[in-house]
Amino acid sequence: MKNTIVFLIMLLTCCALFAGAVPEVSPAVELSAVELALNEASSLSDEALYEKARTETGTMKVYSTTSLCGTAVQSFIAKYPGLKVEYSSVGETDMFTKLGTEIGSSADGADMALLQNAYLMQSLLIDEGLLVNYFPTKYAGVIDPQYQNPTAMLLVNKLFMWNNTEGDIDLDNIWALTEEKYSGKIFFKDPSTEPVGMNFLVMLTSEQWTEKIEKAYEAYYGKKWASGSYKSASYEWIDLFLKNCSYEFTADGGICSGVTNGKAGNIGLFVFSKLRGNEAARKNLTPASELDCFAGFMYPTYAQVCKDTDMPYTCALFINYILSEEGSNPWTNEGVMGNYSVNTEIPLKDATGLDNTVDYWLSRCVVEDGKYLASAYAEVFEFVSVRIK
Amino acid sequence: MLVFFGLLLALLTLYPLLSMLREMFVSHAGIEKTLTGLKKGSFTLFHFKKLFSAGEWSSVNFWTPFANSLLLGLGSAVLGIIIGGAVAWLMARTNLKRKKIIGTLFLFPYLMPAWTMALYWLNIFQNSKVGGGVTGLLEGLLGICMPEWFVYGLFPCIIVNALHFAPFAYILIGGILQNMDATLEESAQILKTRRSRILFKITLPIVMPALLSTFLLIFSSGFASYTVPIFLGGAVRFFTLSSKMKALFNAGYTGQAYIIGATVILVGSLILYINQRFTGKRRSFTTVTGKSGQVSLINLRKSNNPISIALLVAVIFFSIVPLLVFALQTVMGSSGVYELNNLTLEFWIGRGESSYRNGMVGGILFNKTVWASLGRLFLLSVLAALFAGTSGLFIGYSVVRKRGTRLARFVESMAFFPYLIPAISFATIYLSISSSESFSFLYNSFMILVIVAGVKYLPFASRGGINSMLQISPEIEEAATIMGIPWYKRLFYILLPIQKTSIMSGYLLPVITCMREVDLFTLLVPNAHFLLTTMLLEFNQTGYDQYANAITLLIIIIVLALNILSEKLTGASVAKGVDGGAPIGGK
Repeated sequence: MKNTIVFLIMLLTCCALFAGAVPEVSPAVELSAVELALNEASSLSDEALYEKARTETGTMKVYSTTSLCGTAVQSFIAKYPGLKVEYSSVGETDMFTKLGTEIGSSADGADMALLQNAYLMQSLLIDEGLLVNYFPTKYAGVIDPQYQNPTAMLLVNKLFMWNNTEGDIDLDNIWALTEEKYSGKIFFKDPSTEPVGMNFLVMLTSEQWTEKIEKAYEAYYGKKWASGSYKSASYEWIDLFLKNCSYEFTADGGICSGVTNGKAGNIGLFVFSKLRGNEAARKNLTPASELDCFAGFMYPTYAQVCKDTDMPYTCALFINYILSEEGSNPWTNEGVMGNYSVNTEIPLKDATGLDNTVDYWLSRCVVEDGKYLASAYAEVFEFVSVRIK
Repeated sequence: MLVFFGLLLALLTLYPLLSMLREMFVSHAGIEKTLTGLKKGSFTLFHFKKLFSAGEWSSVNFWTPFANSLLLGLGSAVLGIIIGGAVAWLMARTNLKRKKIIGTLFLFPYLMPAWTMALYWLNIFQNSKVGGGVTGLLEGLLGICMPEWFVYGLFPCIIVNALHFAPFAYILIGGILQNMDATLEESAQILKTRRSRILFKITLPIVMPALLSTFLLIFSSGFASYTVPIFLGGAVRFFTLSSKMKALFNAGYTGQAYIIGATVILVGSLILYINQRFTGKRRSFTTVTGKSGQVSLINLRKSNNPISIALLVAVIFFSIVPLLVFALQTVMGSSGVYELNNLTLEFWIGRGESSYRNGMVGGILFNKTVWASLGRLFLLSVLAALFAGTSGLFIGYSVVRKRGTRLARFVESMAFFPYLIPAISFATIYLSISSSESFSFLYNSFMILVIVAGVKYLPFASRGGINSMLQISPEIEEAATIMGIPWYKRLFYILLPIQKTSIMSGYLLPVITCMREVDLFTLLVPNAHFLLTTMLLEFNQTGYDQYANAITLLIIIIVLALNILSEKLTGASVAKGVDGGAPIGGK
């Protein structure tokens, strides 16, 4: 009898388990109600959109990896009385697990999200048909087409910054970072656990950046790069660079304070925005902005709508808002640095004098490209993963 | 009742386990879809082939972390048992001075989250010669720089884990030493047997079941350790299975991540099985016989003072000093700058704009979000403890009364399994369950947090329940059974009053564990500010170290206060929750 009960328990559990398997998402033949609403919303004025949004009941939930979204939500609610918006701060990697599980399920989850990492967003969410893009046509002339689908709202830069407490260091070319003298002195989040860092390395293997890295090699060593055991100059740089890296810190904030308070000449690759409100860091750190051939990595924060939202107009109005100068203010005001609106009409307001325009950084940084990442991610991840040991 | 718990545990424990099993054999979206060319959800053996095929991938992602985890588990367990066992023996079997204060402080490292001990280690020993070169307290005050192997890697991970779990060994071994019949040792003494022979031929065999249980608990925790190697291993690339599992999850190698998770469970189960084989028959009587009334304490004579002072200094170093260091970190304007003009209370009592630049409106004592998060965490801990403690009590009662049956063994094993499932896998599976149509009412709810915490901490409560019920002879119930008194009346009117302190302690342990839990909740909370611990993680990630340290300190103080308060009011404490016995070392 007891055996039978145990057997039945296991059988029932197995049945429940496999009955609950996630069904494959089939490609939509016709536009969904959400897509139709967003298409309509893209050409509406903010006033008309507000009227439509007021007819939607409930609370629009937005997930964001950036905590400043909370401030934007507050000012949005103040500007558009009657609309209910709730902001949730979600970690970078948890974001994909949560959205991937929630969207299309019975869970009352997010309506839209502000998220980073083009590769994971594309492969885990967009390719699976879980996100819908919305871009307001009124911004077509002031936002670069590459940031219109998927819609980006912000660009963020991670820069190489070094501790200047004992004066200048001899660092003017990225190949210097592969020299023995920097062994253990470069602080970088373990790219095998931190997807943004991995995206940076993957981007380096693109044709465009391989060419630039070869040129930097020639400038540094005075001879052309010759292929040996490496597939390209990029792979060689990645390999030697990773050998010099320390993964002591698990967060950008930790790298910032570690390099600021650590040994002179130590270098960190972390988000420039960490210098905000940190006088010691601003004093002790120098961004390697003139490094040949890149000063760091630049990547967008995307604004995407969940396919199962029942508040498409509120989502659209919120995206319109954060693309405007007023709505992007939490990220771009004079007290903030290292965040740049994709809207070219919004000027740089940095009051520290350390920051520069988005074009300045775009010309000096490796820029994330979701399509290239999708094509090369697996190969580079495996190359990198076996080197971090 | 046993059938009810069998069904409940099948749903709450077996379901997650089978979910994990399924994930190892299917293709997932993203990189796996690219690599396998299969649709999401299709059956595949790719993950096994990839992870176990000869080559560097397998070595780096499985075998090396596996060996590291094994060494970490083994080292932590052996050292933890040596430290905890030695202190337990000194407290229970000698006339050591200052027992009360040593006994109280020795438990502190267990009450603190393991990663706070790792942070403390770094705060003390990091120096300008290793890693990032940040000056630690030892170098700042005495100019001493410890070598790299001492600061980062396997060695400090073992020390920190061992110190964190030594109180476990202390409680379990001390409990047995306290309760065992001392006449055995005394008889040997009368027969002029050497002390070492008594130790190896009498004392150690008697405490062996407790040693093996302690080994199981510390080894499993050390083997699955995640946060300690993350803090202390990154600088020297010391990876364990758990850190690799997280890395593979993040990169989208979900199937392989689950295989690693299953390996952790498998190793834990193996240890559990070995433990049951060796201790299954003896465990039931080690504590029931009652203690001898003639415990004669070994006189330490002249070495009493030196030993007790050395021990006291050591326990203060790992109990009080960490609190002071954390407190110091919270009043420093810039981390690592040990200057008077760098001191500020802004992170505690700052208001409005002045502290906004530090990442939050107001210091933590004046911030409503902090208090709301603390309130929710406290409520969650209490409810989870009620769930786990009550279930543990009933499981204990029913398993003990039906001891020897297959169903009892099934329920007992299932109740222990959540201990072996890594928190990240547990949370991921419960997120998936709460997203399904049948359980969508649980999504983003407080209830899912209560359930997940209740189930995860059930092993503590069920073990406590089983142990406390084992201590009661069935004869005590017999008269009531003959009179036809129903089981629940017997439980509430006979058994509970006898074991109320130990049962209360069974509730306290989940409260304290829940108060410091992070990994289990990050995926399931509606937002990062929902609980104080997830808020702490956010501050750690964004680099607001002072706020993170302040919250850590707040959590530690609350946990310590809870333990002390509960001991004063009800007699229940963490020590009794683990062991169920009398205080080690007497009064």
